[in-house]
Amino acid sequence: MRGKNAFKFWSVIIATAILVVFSLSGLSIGKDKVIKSFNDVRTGIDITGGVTALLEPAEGETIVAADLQKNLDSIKASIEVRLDSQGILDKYISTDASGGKGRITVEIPWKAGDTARDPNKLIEESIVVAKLYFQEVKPFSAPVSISTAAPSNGPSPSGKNSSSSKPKVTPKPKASPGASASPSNAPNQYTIKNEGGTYEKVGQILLQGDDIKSASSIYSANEGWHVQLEFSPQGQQKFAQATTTISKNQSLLGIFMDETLISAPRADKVINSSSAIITGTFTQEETKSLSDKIRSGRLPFKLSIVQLDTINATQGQQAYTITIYALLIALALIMLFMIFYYRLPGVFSAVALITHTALQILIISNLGITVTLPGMAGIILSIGLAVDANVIIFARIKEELSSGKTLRASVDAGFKRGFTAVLDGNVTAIIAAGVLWYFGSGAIKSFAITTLIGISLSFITAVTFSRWMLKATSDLNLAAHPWLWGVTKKKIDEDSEEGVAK
Amino acid sequence: MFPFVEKRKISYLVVAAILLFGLISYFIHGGFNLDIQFQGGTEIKYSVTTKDFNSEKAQSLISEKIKKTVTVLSSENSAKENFLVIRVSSSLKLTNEEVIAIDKLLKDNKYPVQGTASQINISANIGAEYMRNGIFAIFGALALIIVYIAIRFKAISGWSAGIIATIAILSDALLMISVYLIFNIALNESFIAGVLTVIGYSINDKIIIYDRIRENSSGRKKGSNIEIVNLSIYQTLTRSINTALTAIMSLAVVFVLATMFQISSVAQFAFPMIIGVAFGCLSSIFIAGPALGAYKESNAKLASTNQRSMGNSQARRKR
Repeated sequence: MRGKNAFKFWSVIIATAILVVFSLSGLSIGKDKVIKSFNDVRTGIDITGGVTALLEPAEGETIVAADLQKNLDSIKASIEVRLDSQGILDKYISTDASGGKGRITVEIPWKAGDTARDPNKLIEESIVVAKLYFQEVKPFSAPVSISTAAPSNGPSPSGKNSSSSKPKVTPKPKASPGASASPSNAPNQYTIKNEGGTYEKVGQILLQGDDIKSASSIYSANEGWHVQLEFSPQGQQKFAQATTTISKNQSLLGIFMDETLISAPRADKVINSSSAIITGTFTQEETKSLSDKIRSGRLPFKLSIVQLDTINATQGQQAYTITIYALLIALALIMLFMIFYYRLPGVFSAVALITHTALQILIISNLGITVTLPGMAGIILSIGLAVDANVIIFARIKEELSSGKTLRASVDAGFKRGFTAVLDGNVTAIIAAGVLWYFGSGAIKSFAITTLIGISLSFITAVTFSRWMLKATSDLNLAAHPWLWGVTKKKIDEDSEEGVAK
Repeated sequence: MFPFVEKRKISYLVVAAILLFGLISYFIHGGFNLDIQFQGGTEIKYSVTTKDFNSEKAQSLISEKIKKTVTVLSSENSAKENFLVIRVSSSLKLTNEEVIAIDKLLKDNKYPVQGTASQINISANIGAEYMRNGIFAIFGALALIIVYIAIRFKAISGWSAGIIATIAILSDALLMISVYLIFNIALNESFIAGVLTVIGYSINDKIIIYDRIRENSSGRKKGSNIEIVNLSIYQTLTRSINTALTAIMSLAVVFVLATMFQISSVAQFAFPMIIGVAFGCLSSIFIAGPALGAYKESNAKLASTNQRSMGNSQARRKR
């Protein structure tokens, strides 16, 4: 073992050691945890406990009894999308249309490491389902605020934008999404945070959440981070009408999220297009959160939190610990089985398995994916398939050795022939998991994502890493002992003579 | 070598028998035992003096007592008041006697419950739409797998291989469902996870055997289609068994520990998976492989008769 092979061999061993350390304790630079560890894995409600929130349509919302169930279902779907996009896969959402009022119960787990455990904050962060609408606004006419909200100070669209085919709703002032620019002192007085301009609502709501087909966070050199809106055909029509109104009245287009004014651009011309952008001095985080909120904000009505309870873990820490121990024992048994059955290659597959597990923990923890029971099933499945890749290849090497090939040739042939089976098996499993990830939600998604991660990893660990280790050792005299490869004595002698003599 | 292909009808019969048994159980139990997540149900909420109680144990106690699966949660509201919450799915409607029995059971076992419980109805968490999407996704995935197999396994009649593998995978899923029916295990999210895992294992198992058939058919080995399939199954047998064994071994550890420490949700999830993985392995060895062999053989026979008749007609034309 020298040169390139030795280098690869030791790289794998060192990488495994580093990964194990990281997965157990993470990496902190100063106060920031740069790499999250095993302890930071976000677990399901049953393990960590969580929050249960009872939501109801906010006061003043008109509820049409006939549409109530449909509306509740669409709210449920929106909340599901929003939670899925944050990796919160262990959730419980139920709707109740009885009594004509409409109630939605949402249960979500605590974040790992969230020691403050403030239920309000968790629900606000995770499922704020604000209602998005566009309404005509004009600078607030109270004497004090006139100066700050004067047109020269206020938002002004640049000329080139309004003439281009893509309308650019471009306010100059800095606006911060999600900032609490809520009704300040007077009921009809809204301030865009960081800008200071105060506006009041005039006229009707011009455009609503369901007029917007999609919203995305986009970067361009000219506008920086901004939010792009796609209108539905109906929305495009309404937007054209809205710009007609505000250009005629010399007023502004207020973009509201519930009672928060996000932006108030001006439009000098009628804009008739299927898309528009909201610009400002946004950060990526702000535009992402804004577009997420707009996407999930296409709700039939505004919701308010009626009741907020915390749920204690059903399983308790003890049960979780026992499940983890069970998995560790299982892992150890698999390794012992592999070592006992395949000997030297088995040892390498055990190393590869440790690498695999550590990597999987690191990825799940750092992506913030909730591990639920189905997620654990995905981990078990992918570990199983990783072991399987080694079983296939080692069985093949044994066969090749028995057919009289040299050790080196057998290792090469074993990987080469075994690989087609591993590839086809893994690709089909990836296809299945990919489809489930795309179409499924909640538990199914949780399963699909852990499986996808695990199977992709097994190409690195079970295939590449174990090949490097086997190749590096297969040219060592010491490793040529037939016993180490689990081949019969006689076969080995013939074999090693041929193999080692060279 | 075991004549896998020749004996395939025995395994078809075994599968049919289990499925029939599952169907009979379906009628005996009056349908699926749907958990609360699937169909909504009733929630009973007790006020408690402390949150220090074992909800997992209360769950098994109540479930045993009234012979209906319930879920017990411990909850706390913003005013720091603690509650013990019992949920039961609507197909298992609680009678008044049962509510009284639960009350007595909790008080007898010194659970810190106070006063009387409040009851509310809750809707299904896993709605019909969710299930439809899930089933749609599974069939979509299987369709893509057929296409993949058709392309990659062209040498061994790709499309048919894909379809046969898919039928075998579906039969594994049905066998899993039968196990749930026979043992009357409640269908919930772990059921979904279990079925998906077994499908994943099962696909992989079939592919490995087909891979060997493909390799052996590529001319290196001589023999009839049946001989090649039998040989391929035999050659991959150690691998099939070892892989299933490692998976079953790890699931068994989880199951045993979960049972020992009364973590019923984990135990309920591991048990059907053990059976499912075993089915996936067996169906690859005894069904998917042999069925492909039988299909190829009958195709070959057909082709040779066609060829003969074609040859005859050509010979005649020459004359």
